[in-house]
Order: sequence, then structure tokens, then C-alpha cells
Amino acid sequence: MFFFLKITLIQALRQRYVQVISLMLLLIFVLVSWNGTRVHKMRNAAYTEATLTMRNAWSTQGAVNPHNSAHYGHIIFQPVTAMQVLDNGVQPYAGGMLRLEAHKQNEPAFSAAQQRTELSRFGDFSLAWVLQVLMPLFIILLGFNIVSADFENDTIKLIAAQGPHPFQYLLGKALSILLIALILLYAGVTIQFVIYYAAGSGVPMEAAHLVSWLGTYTLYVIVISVLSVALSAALKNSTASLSMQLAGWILWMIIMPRVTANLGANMYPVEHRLAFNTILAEDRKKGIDGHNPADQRIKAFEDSLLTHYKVSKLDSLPVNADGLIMQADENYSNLVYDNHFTRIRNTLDNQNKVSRYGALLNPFLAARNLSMGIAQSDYKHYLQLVYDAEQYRRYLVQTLNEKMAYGGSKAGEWDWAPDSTWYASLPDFVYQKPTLKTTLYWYSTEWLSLCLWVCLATAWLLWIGRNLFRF
Amino acid sequence: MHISTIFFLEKKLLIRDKWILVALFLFTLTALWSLHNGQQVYHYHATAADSLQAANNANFANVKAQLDTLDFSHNGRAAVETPFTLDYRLKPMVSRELNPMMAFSIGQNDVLVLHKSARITQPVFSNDFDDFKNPEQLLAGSFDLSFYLLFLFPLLFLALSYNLQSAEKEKGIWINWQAAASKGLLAAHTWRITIRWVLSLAPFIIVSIVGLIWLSDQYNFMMVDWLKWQGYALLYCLLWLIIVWLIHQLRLNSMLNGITILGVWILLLIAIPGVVNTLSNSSYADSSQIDIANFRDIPEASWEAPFEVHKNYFAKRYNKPLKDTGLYSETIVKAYGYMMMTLEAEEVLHSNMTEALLNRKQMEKATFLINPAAAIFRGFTQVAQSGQAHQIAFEQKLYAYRLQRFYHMNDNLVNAYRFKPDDLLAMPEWNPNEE
Repeated sequence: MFFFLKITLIQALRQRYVQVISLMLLLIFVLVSWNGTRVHKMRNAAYTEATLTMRNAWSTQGAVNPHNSAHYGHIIFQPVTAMQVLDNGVQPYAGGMLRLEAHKQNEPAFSAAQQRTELSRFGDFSLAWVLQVLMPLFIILLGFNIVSADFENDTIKLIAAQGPHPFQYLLGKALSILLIALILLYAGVTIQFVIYYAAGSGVPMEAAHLVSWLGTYTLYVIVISVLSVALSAALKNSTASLSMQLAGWILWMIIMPRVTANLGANMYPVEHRLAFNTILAEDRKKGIDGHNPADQRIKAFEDSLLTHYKVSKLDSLPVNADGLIMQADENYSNLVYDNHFTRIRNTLDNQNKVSRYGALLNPFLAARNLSMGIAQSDYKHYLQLVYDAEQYRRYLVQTLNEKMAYGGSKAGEWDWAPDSTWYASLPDFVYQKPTLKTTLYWYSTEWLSLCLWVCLATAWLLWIGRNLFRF
Repeated sequence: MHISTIFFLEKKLLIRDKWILVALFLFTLTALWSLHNGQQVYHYHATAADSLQAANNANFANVKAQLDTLDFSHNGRAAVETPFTLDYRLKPMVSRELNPMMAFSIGQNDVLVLHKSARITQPVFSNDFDDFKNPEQLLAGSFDLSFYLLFLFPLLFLALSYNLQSAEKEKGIWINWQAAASKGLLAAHTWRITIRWVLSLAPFIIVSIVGLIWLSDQYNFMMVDWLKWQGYALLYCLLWLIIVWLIHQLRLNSMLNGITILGVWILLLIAIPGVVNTLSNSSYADSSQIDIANFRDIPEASWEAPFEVHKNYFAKRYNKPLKDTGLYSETIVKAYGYMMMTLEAEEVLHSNMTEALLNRKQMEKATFLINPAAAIFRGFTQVAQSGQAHQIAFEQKLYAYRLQRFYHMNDNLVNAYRFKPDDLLAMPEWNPNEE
């Protein structure tokens, strides 16, 4: 096996086109890494500035009524993490900012893609994109005739006459391609790593994430390399092998991602926003409306407070009834929001399941989904951010309403305000990244699919090997 | 060699290969599905636009009913007559003009916000009526007819033509062609490529005609749009005919022919557009988010501005003594000044965002000579009105419409004091098709 590995490796590396394409790939790695780091640094700077500006606006809002402050709210932005330099994922298409305010659960808005032209739909180069799309093309060019050329030149009979086992021959061929592809893969990631740290990007990448990310691409490269050799051996004809492999590349990289995404959208249509808003408003009307003095539920709530505290007038209460009413409004609307937003999230999740299960048929989809998941730039990380932000909104609004209720003011005292420094003492929203374990759990279909593909491709290669030297 | 002979020979060659018929059938199905996807998106937005209009009509009828019950013979003004309350109760919503050609090219319409609030206090960049977007789906992109034509048609043409002539040389039967068409080999070869080009176009032509039949039933469809779209499509297909013809002149073997055509495909559809896009993304970083976030403070700052500033704004439009010197006069002046200051700040912010987009478009346009697929795609989206250009126009029109509505309500408040049902009927109307 090592004999064939050595021979094939030497033959491949001697070929001018392999040298040229390898150098081109390395140059592409340098360019995308440099550009990716530059854009990542700009995004990180913008994120830091925006976050500080919003926190400053919150802390310096002065002496205002807590419920007015809840209406003013807070704005959070899509966080930028170190791992995202490797893979942009869905970030350009996800809402970039989210306003957190009283009575209302907003959706993130203003995606980067909305500020781009239609030509942005042709795609954007990143390290992940090069590894997912260009690397397989490079492997195909290396491997399409790696076995078939021996059949076409009739050298296969000479090789067989020397007495090696076909498995040794095929595995040696596969390992030689794999070795070149892996060297380039690790070189690409090292280049990105060096450029990222040389640019003083600050935030370190998490080692476990980086290793998992590399592991994903290692599995991906193994699948493509073994399949390329297997096809070359199965077809025994270079033209047919190349045609088949290129057709597979187009099907997996270009056509299938769009087909699964559009199929998902057709199978699970999401409701119109106006319809959603209307149902939401209807359901909200069934609960207490804190800003509607004519609401009968407010009257009942006030009566219950008077009974509880055994007083006859609201301003005799030891608490500010307005703050409690506002919080009752929040508690009810939170239930309504949970109910309706869960429905929408489930629909979108079902849409994405089509491409998730498509990963079983397409290792590119598996690698793409897993790559952006580990790079923390996928839809699930984004959803987690939205969920965490919503929990923070509820905490913040509740804290403000309770300050109004128990801070020393009476019902109707809307001019009352706590000390202006009190707002600065409230904790800011901190993005807690999901752990790697959680991410790998989310993407279990994908990494299982990659492992399965490695096994199936290797088994197929060995199966082809059984009859390879029978002429 | 006579064209009819070439046609006859080609027909025999192609019919003999059953795989070609299977491929043509599969590509026709794919093209039909791509059209279906486009139609789904168009119907989704058309239905949303209709629902919005129905909600507008219902809100309008409600307000009209409220105004009809008022007694206008005394001076007391009801809350519903004041601009901000009136606007709040009308809750106007607008949709961007939808061209049914969008079914052919969804373009950027899946990303953009096509339905917006037209309330005077809701800035053009608000997203209360934005559809729920699925970022994973947006990342993958739309499988519409423009995708089929740009990406898949060249592959079908490649499959049907890569081994033309070279296969005959490889099989040793080229000598027959040389003997039959000794003086017109180039012409015969050109005819053969053209016949295969037309054959590759067959699924697209069929689906375009199916699309035309469907379009002719749609509101707002104009034949000239379909013709323009087909014009761009023809240009693109001709480009591929020329590319393949030129590659064949290199007299390569079948495998190299195939690799070269595929190499050009990757270059034109992936490499060049990708590089241009990556460059424009890094040159025009998305920096508007912080400005939009900061806009949150503008209304309050405008309200808190010195009264003199409000008065100046008021005086600019209403250069006459106020009819009403009663309780509301100061509030009226202040509310007007506040709204105009807020709208001005919004216009500045929106202009900056628009300018960045236009610069980006200009930069991309400068690359069109080496980026033909992108040029054709922009052409498609222009015809289908599914690009940023129409979104910019929509948002500018929406801004002007809100201003117009505000002037109508405020002029009435200042000059007539009461807002009667006839004033409601005279409210400016949104016409999405109006230039």
C-alpha cells in the first residue's frame, strides 16, 4: 500500500497542472483569509461600537420613569465571534439588530443582505466556501484518472503481475490523493489562523471548536477523495470518470442546496406577517392591556389589589399599582408571544429539516451545515441568540416594572423616577454561546452522515477492488 | 453540405441516443419546477398585498364611520381628527409594485421588505410587515427560471455539444464528414452546434411559453416586459453559443472540450461574480445598523428641541397668522416641528443608505464587461422589478407619500381645524404602479 502511495504521490506532484492548481489554491487561501479577516475585524469593530453606544444610551438615560425606560428599551446586535472568521454561514441573511422593549417581542431586523444588491446572490468567497466548493473540484482533477489511466495505458496488468492485493493498490491511490488534499486543507486553515492573529484580531478561537471544524473538513475531504478514486476505478475510463464526477459536483454543490431549500419552503409555507400580526393582536386583546384605562381586566386587577391590601383607594396601597398592572400585561403577552412565535419557528425549522435530511444524500450539505454550526454562524445559533435576547427583555422589563411597583412611588405618579445611576447598575445583555456539545447535538444528522459517507465510500472502494485485477 | 442534410443527420444522431431525450425531459421538468417556485413567491406577495389592502379598507371604513358620527357644528375637536391619532387609527400599509415577471426572476425580493407601514411616525426602514425570513433558505437562493437559464442551460448545452466533431475524430469517422462537406466544414460545424444549441434551449422555450400563458392572466402584466426578459435571455444564450463555438475551434479532444467549457462556466458563474461580490462586500461594509439604532433617539430629541426651532419649521410651510390661538396652537406648532425634524433626519439616514447602495451598484456595473452573467441577472431583475433599484424607488416613494399624508392632515388641522369625512375621502392614495 505504501509503495503505491509513494509512487502515486510522486507522480501526482511531478505533474505540472497539479503544481499549478495547488499553488493557485494556496494563493486563494491567502486572499480569502486576508479578506475574511479584514471584513471580520470591521464587523467586530462595528459590533463593539454599536454595543457600547447602546449600553451608554441605556446607562445615561437620566432620571426617567422605569416604565418609560422599558418603552425606550435596549437594542442588541448580532454578535461577532472569532470562529465566524472561518465561515460566514447565514449571518448576512439574518437580522442584524433586535430592539428589546416593553409589551412587544420584535423580530431581528436589517440583515446585511438587505443592504446588498441582487448580485450578492452569486455568493461570497470565504475559507469555508473554498473548502466546501473548490477543494472537491481540486480533488476531482487529481483523482478522476488515478486508476482509469492505468487501465487506459494497460499498465494495470503490469501492476497486477507484481502481485499486490487490489486493496493495497486502491488504498495507496486513495491515500495519496487524500494526503495532498489534507496538506492543502491544513495549510489553508493555518494561513487563516496566522493572518487572523497577525492582524491583531484579539478574540482567540476556541481550540475545541477549531479541532471539530477541521475534523468536519477532514471527513469531507476523505469522502470526496475516496469517491473520486472509486469512480475512477469503477468506470475504468477517464472521460466517463471526469464527466460523472463533474456532474456529481454540480449536482451536490450547485443544484441540490437550492432544491432542498425551495422544496422545504414549498412543503412548509410560512404564514403572512399581516395574518400573524392580526392573530397576535386578537389574542393580546383577550388579556390585560396596561395602557388602556378602560380595560375591564385592569379594574378587576385593581380590585384584587385593594382587597389583598385591605385598602379602599389605589394611592393608599403600599405599592404602585401601575407597575403591577404593566407587569401583568407583560406576563400575559409573553404567553401569547411564546405561543405564536413557536409556531413560526417550528415552520422554519421544518423547512430546514429538508436540507438537514438532504445531508444524508449529499456530504456537501452535511459539511456546510456542520461547518457553520461549529463556526457559530448558523441559524440555530441565531435562534438561540433571539431566544436569549427575549429572556433578557423579559428580565429587564420585569425589573423595571417591579422598580415602579415597589420602588416607593404611588399609583398615577408617572413622573416618579429612581436615581439616574440605578439604570447603569442593571446588567447588560451578555451573549452566551451554546457549547460545542450542544452544537454537535444539533447537527448529529450531519456528522453521522459524514461518518456514514466515509464508511460507505471506503466500503465501495474495497468492493470495487475485489475484481479489479481480474482481466 | 446542405443545411437540410445536416439537420437530417443531427436528428438521426440525437434520436439514436435515448439519454438525450431523457435529459431533455428532465431539464424540462426542472425548468417547470423553477417556474412554479417563482409563481409561488409571486402569489405569496400578491396575496399579502391584497390582505394589506383589505385591512387598509377596513381601517378606513372604521375611521369614516367614526367621523360620520361627529357633530361638526361646535368647536370641540375629537381625538380622531388630530393627525397623529387619525394616522394611528387608519394604520395605513403599503406594498411595493409587484410585477408578475417576478415569477421568472425572484431576484432580491426574498430578502427585501416589500410590505411596509405608511404611518407618518414609522420610518421607511421599519419592518413590522416584513415576512418571516428563513436565513438558511436565503443563503441557498431561489430556484427560479433565471437560475435555470443562467446555471443549468449552459450545462445542458455542454452535455449536448462537448464532443461534437471531436467524438467523430476519436471514432475515426471524421473522414466521412470531410468527404461530405470538404468546402463547407466550418459552416457545417457551425450549423451542427446551432442545432444542438436550439435543442438545449427547447426546455426553456417550452417553459417560457407556459410562463407567458400564465402571465397573460395576471394583473399588471405587460407583454413588453416578457419580451425584454426574453431579449436578455437570448443575449445570454447567444453568448454561450459563441463560447462553445470558439472552444470547438481549438480542436481539442472531447475531454478537453468538456473541461474547457466547464471551466468557462465556473469562471463566468462562480469565480468572477464571487470575486466581484466579495470585493464589493468588503468595500461597502454594512454600517447602517448603528445609525438606524441611534435613530431611536431622534423623535424625542426633536420633541425636546427649543420651541423657536419648531416655530421656524411651522412658519416655513404656514406663513400666515394662526387661525386658532386657543389651547392647541402651541401643541400644533410643536407637533409639526417635531414631525418635520424627525422626517428630515430619516431622509438623511435613508439617503446615506441609498447612496452607499447606488455606489455599490455602480461599482458592480463597471465589471459587467468581464461579468456577463451578473449583467444579465441585473437585466432580469430590472425587468421583473425584483432588484434593489425598485426597492430604493419604493422607499423614496413611500417617504414622499407619508409626507403628503402628513401635509394633508396637518394643513387641514391648521387651516380648517376640523377634519370632516370629505377630508378623509380626499386623503392622498397610494398607487404602487404610479411613477
